[in-house]
Amino acid sequence: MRWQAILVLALAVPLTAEPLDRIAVTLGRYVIAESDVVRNLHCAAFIDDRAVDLSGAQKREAAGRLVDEYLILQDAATSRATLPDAAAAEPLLTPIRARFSSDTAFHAALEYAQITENDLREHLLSGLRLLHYTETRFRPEVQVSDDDLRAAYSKLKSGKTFEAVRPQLEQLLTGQRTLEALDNWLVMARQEARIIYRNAVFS
Amino acid sequence: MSHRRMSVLFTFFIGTFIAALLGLTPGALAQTSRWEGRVVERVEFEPATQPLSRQELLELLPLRVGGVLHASDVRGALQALYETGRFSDVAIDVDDDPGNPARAALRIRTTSTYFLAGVGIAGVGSPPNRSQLLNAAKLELGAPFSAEAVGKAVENMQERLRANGLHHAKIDFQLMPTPATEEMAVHFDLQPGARAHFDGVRLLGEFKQSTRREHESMEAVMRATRWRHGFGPVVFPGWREATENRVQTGLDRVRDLYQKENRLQARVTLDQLDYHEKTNMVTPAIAIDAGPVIEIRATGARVSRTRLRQLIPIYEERSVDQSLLAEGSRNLVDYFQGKGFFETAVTYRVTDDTPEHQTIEYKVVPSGRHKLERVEIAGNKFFDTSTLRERLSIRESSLLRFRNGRYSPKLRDQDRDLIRDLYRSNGFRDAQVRATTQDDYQGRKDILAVRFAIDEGQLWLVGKLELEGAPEADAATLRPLLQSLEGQPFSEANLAADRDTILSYYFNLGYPDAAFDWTQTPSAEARRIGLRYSIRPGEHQFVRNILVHGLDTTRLSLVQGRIALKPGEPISQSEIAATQQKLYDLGIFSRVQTALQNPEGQEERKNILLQLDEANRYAFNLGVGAELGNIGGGVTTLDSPAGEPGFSPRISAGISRLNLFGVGHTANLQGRASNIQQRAVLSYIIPQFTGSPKFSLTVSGLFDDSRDVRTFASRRWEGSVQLARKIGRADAFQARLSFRRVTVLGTPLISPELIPLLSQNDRVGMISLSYVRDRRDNGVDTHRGNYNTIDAGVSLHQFGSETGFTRLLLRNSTYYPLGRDVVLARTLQYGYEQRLTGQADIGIPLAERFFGGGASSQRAFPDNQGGPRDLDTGFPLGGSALLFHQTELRFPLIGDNIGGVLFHDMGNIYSDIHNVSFRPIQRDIADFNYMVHAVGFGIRYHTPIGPLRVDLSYSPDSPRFYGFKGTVEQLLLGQGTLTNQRISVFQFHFSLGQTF
Repeated sequence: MRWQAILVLALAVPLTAEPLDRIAVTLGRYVIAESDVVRNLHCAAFIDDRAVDLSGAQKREAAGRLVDEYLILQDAATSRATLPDAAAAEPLLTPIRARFSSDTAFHAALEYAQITENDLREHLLSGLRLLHYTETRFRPEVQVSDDDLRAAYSKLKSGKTFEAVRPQLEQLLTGQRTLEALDNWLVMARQEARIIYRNAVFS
Repeated sequence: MSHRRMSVLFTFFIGTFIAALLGLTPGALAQTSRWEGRVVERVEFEPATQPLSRQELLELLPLRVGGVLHASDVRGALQALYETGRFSDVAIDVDDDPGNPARAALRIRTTSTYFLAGVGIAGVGSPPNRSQLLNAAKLELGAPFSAEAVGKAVENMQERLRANGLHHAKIDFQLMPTPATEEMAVHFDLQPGARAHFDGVRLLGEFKQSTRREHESMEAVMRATRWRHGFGPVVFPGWREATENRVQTGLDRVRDLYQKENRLQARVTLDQLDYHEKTNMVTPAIAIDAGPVIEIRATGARVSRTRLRQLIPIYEERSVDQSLLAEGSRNLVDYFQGKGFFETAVTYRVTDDTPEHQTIEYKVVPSGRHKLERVEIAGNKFFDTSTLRERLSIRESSLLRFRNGRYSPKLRDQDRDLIRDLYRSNGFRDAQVRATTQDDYQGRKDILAVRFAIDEGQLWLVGKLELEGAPEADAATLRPLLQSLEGQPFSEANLAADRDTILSYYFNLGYPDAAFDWTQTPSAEARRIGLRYSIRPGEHQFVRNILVHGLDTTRLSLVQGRIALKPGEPISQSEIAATQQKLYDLGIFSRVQTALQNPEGQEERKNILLQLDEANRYAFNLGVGAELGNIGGGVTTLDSPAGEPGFSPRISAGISRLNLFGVGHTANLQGRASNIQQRAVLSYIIPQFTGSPKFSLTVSGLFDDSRDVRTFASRRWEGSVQLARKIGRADAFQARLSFRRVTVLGTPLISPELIPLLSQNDRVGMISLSYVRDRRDNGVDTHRGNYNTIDAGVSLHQFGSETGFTRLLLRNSTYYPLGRDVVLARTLQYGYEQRLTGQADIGIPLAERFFGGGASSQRAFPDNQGGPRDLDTGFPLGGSALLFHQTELRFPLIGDNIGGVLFHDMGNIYSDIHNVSFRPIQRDIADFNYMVHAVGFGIRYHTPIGPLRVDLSYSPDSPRFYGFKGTVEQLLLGQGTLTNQRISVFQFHFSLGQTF
């Protein structure tokens, strides 16, 4: 039985070596680690107050988001755009914190969710920066004509007059088209970047 | 299943179960908080052999043995390792330290990146040629290797092959990894298969031509493509092979077809290239939109059709729009202004006569012809007028080249800007230049004067220069190289030059990412500007190793000896370029590629790749030519000692075997045959002898059978060894040991009593030294500088000579620019031979004497007709001293390509050194030791290989001499008659290249 005991240990010991982190995606020489992907999912779940789903499909989706985030923020850095600073994330953090009865409960929940307050702050700040840069970079090129608004109004089954809903319609259409412009830009940016996903991470 | 096997399986599952209990499922990330804050016990790498040393790897990591483990550092380690470019994948595992739960052991698992080394292609059947396929493959030397890139390369090459009719081409490839250097060589095997042929042409769109019916138009297009077999207008059955080039030229010819019909907007494009698998044929579909007939004409002045095609861009651009119409108008104005019609106005009008016909009329309103007589520059103090004047494009009228001067308002304004920029780049920041043109200058009609009024403004100087970011030692080296030093003029041109100097300095020290910026700082002194140069050298990169690929027959040691970089040294761009140059200089490589392996990787030490393509080992050359001059006349009759106009066709051929024994040596056989000379030279050349680019050694053997001197024919066998050394850029030294045997063939055309002395066979062993100093700006068409040579030799019995003598030849040429286009050039040649044994000078054999005169030495004579002559036959005897001096005034004559020369030549071949004389008159008919003078005029037509030269000389006192009317036999028998003869006072020379 002695050799079997040794074999049990021999098999068990290597398996105790846990994967700590690995490369999930690369964009050129930039690395998105699996820990980045997992943290992103944890943060998103925490904000939405739901259980985290660490399935391959979810990880792949989160990795895609991180790729886009990197591409946009790189573009912002290249164009030396001014982005919101760390303090700008505080107003977003406050309502999340308010969901908990105390600071201790908030931190306990964070620990349970395997993230830190800083992770959450960074996550919120990234989102804020993306939104800000998208607005400054893509909104100015969006144009909504009177004809566009009237066409949208005709599809809108609203009892209000055109003039009454015009500001909201304009805002809606501008928002839609800004996102379209962002999407189009991202398609090009993704093609130009050398993006390699490590399938093993997402299987 | 045996009990034993069951037991092993059971044990495996138990082990896995224990691990699972611990939450350690492989593939899922550990709960990082469990490891956060532990002490790193050890860091191991898997596999054990890594592309970087353990020390290099550990230096890269933010994780430290003995340090605290943080998840952010683990992520940082992934980034740092991946950034090196050496790894395609990295994962980090963590393990408990069984002895200490507060500690953790890390194992970093890596997958190495492979990099592209050489790319080879076999089986290429051009077109496409090897280079085209390599370009299509887009496999970049030194870049990370990926299977996708190779797959894409195959696709790209297939596309290129299909475009060239090779639809059945197959490409296999082999990958040849070298794990030691992480290199992957790719070798493509190509089986091109049969090339497709055209089988017809499909025409789409409006292809009809005005003068033809539809089927005739179709036939005309088909003929124009020349895709059918045939010769010119004659068409044979069958179709040619389809290649990319043939398709393109076919389309171009179709475009020309429509352009000939003045359908200048005709659109002719390849719509499709239908391939028929069964027949291996392609049918091109050509889309044609013939467009209207556009007639372009110039009215109001005469402009030839050819000139109109050159000036109106619509012809070339095949499009009509406002900008092209206006450009045509401007070109016409420039054309007329260039001819002296400085105030010419041109307008255009486009008329749509019918939908099928359009007329573009350029209406030229020429002014009276003007002449630019004066260009005045005023207000200049810093630059003198001649400095400014030589930069101007406008020209005052001159007798020959610019009879009306060269002027247009556009050129004048360009010159104005040029003067202003010159001032500004020399510190006169506020310089202003005003250009005005005065017509009817000094009351003379149509005479122009241009005045450039310069307001120099104040000179701005550099107050203080600060170098920021450069280490002290670098700053000390850089300062003397900079132009914007304290007290120097401030200008942006100087700043740009300094920027280049600084960046080159750092690039060559191994800082590829060096950056430079400058800012202006206030200065306490007036008109002084303080400067701050900010330098960021960036990462320092060193050579890891130099990897050489592509050697088939060449020895590696030959290449290694020419590599200017060593492992551990900074990566210097200039040293890489020097290595490349040295390898090209060997003359055995058709391509020398250099690249950094892993170019985008952030690693301190990088491999340098040298990919060498060996040139063909055999090179051939073939040439035809002719000599034209007074080289004719009978070889047995004595009627024309000064030669008769003759023509000698010549053919030359050569073969070289390069890179003998793989050590870069070359064997070369060159032959030349004409009716006055047959020559063969076999050479063995060792370039970069002893590994130094300064030395070369040549061993050669020569056979020469010639009658280039009218007096005799000779046969020469010669062997020589020559060691050459370059000293700097301008100087070269040669030492030569030669051994030759010269036999006079037949009977020389001289007095019978001289034959035993002069026609003796001659064996000469000579050692000679040459020194050349060449400081000309251009060896083919010199404008300034000087050229000096000394050639001294001694022939001794100790070297195997039958004849002992010394020989010295000196040449000194100088060239002086007079203004911008005129050159005064002069050359002096002096030489003498001295018999060492003390015999009479006449005893020097004919073949070793100096012969001269002709197109390159003294234009009063036909070739080799200078100097002493036989007193009975009048044939040249050569001499043992020579002195020639030539002076030329070279100037532009017509346009930019035709120049003129006025020359004066003086000198002669003398019987010996003591008889060298400056006396310009021939004393009597037997006197040849006098200085012959010639003056003349020549024309030079400048070509890319040097000027074509025609010279006509006049020599008022050309030599008179006794000739003999009769044959050699009659001379021997004392028959025949003596006649008075003379070298013609007019001589005509035709040649290539300047005289000296």
